[in-house]
Amino acid sequence: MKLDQTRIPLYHEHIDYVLTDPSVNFDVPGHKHGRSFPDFYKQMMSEQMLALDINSSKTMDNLSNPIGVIKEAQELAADLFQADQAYFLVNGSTSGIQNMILASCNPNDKIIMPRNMHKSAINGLVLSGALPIFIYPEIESDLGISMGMSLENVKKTIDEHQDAKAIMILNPTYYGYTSNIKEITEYAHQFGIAVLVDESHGSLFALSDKLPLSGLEVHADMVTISMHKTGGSLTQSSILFHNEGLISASRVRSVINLAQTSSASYLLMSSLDVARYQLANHPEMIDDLISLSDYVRNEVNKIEPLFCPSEELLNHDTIYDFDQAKIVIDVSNLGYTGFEVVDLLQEEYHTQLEVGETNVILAVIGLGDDLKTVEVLLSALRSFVKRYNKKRKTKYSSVNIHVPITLRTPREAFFSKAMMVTLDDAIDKIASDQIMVYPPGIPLAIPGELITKQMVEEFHFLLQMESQLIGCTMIDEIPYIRIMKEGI
Amino acid sequence: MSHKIYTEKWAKDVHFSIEYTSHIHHEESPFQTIDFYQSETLGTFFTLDGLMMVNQKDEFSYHDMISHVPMSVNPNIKRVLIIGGGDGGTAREISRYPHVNQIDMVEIDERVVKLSIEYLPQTASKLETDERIHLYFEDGVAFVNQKEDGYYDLVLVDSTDPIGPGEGLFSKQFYDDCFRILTDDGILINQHESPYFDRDKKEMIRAHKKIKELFPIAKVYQFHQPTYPSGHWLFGFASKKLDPIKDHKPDLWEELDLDTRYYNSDIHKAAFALPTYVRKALKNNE
Ligand SMILES: Cc1ncc(COP(=O)(O)O)c(C=O)c1O
Repeated sequence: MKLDQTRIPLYHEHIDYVLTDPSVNFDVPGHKHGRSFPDFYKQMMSEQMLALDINSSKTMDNLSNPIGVIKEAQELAADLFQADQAYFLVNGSTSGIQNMILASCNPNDKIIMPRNMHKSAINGLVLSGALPIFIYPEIESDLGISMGMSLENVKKTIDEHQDAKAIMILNPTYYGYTSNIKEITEYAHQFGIAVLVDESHGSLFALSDKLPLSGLEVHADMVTISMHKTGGSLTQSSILFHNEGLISASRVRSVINLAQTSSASYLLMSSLDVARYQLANHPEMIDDLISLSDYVRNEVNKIEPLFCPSEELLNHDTIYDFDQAKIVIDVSNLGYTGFEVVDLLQEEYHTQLEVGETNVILAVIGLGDDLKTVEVLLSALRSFVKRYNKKRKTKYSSVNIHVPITLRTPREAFFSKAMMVTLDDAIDKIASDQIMVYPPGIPLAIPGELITKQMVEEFHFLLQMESQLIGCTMIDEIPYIRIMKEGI
Repeated sequence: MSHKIYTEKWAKDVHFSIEYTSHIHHEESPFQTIDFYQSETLGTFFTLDGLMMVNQKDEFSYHDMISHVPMSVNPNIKRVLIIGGGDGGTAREISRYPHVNQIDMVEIDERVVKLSIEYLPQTASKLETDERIHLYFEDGVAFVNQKEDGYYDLVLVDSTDPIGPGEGLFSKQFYDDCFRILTDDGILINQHESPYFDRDKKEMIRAHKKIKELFPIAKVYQFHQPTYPSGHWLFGFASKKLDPIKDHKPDLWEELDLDTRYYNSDIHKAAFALPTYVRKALKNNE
């Protein structure tokens, strides 16, 4: 680190501008320091916070073209996370993922990505017109969730598609598992393929040796982190990092400005500055988080028949490493699905978990947790198991992997005319919407892909198993999906 | 120059006349008298036993309304049976749906089909070109009687008036068979005549009564057919489970992007709103 990380330039200027600057505002927002809000809202939200909701100005800089305090704050973030550039985002990592794709791919350029990518990546394909080449992640059969990509698979895919412009890596998956990001990055770079890392769930990786490797530590070209998820900033605030080389800074800048608001919220941006300051000056918070998480994992494993996997799952490849703060709990021996357990924990114990799937539930331990809060979770789990254990195993229906046949880019499929047809009529037609199946959160088809007979059979099977299917509508008890009208 | 005029009796003292430019064809088939004419305003038209069947100018209303109303209620119709419909217009409309696999058309009088193919390609062109259309030249009543249970998703009774060859199609036995050969979410559409002139009104009541006794859902809808007696014409919508309004799926239908001249999703709803005198006539006779 070269810069003085004890500074919080954006935050300080923000406070000074609002609380000490004597100017009277004749610019937007029209609520003028919150004065037009009704009293109940002013009291609830605190008048000071409402006053802090301001627009850009010469003093406060502008996110579309930062030259002042926002620039300084972004430089401090880049310095801490060891990247060439940092860009604050106010529309979540969704915008970061989309910017990464748009910055590296022109229409019809190839991009390699894991099949378990977030939907923002598919939307990024629609925006960019890029052609996806998918790599199937491993699906861990006991937990029923998708993991990382195998290095061998990545190499093979790159060998076959040396003209690809970019490869996207999910680091980590929603459940905290990573791939061998170092070797993947090195291999891609040998071919001049840009490495884009979706580090939405790994905001802290770059800051601790005890956590999995960050894309930034292996010199990926672009990395998006959701500071708002585990980094401690306000919801919706994320950071996009860029390392120069394969992608130019001017391209990144113009791509970001394509869809970014010209009125970015200072509450969000200041919170990024403060969260960065906090992480830089209190690295022990991350150590504490890891010990606390290890404690939770140990305790959960004492509650029969729950199982909270850790190191023993690692295989040096598709499950290369894992984020300790993601508490994945296998609940399949209780006779309930993870969906049901999450609902019951909420209804009966007032504990809100991150997500549930057929076999597992996920609790996220965060920087704000302590022994007291995690004890609530642990006692809820202990009591839940006593009260609800049906002592039998829930069935997990495994999904077969279909190698997708891409006939149109997602963009072409998205903009072509579409119509609903019954599932059976969709055979040999081109999907126009994404069809997702949970578990394991992998699309059966994305826009532009051929719907095969085998896929439709699988689909019927999954419907019977009562899996969650998104992108499929039941009409008069018959499943319908959307296909491209073209070529019928 | 002598006036060449075709006249049809709409009531004992009300007549409808068309001045035609040429009388293209006249023949006595084994079933009925068939005449084809040419008129400046209506284009080619043909009559059976002296009653107007189809003309180029307004055939779209009839064929739109018999087809698109059921097709937009059940978007999963695969097998369609058309009883009558020798001019081919109904089959033409149904063939516009890519998801339909089979269109069986049972017309008693082969001559009507052959002459329509010759003189009225506007309605008949699909009969020879669409592989999904199968033509049967036999009696519709016998055909439905021999068909297995639950075979069709849609039966369209595109029949002539209930005098002459059409008569059996208005019998109870026929509707029993229609019910039997329909799938659980199958739909029957039948020609319901008109509420206006006495003779047609009697037939309307008769047709509705039989269907009402059989089908859990039996509704009547109207459309405007300028060259049929009074111009006010009706179809019956009958089904075992699907309601024409509650189960109407305009969004799915709109996506098909069919270019129609009469039917649209607003007309669909409106068509089931009947004038008070029609409602009364149907209700009093239930
Ligand atoms: C893997 C992954 N990438 C990207 C995103 C998008 O992040 P955001 O909600 O900040 O837009 C998510 C959000 O859940 C995610 O899980």
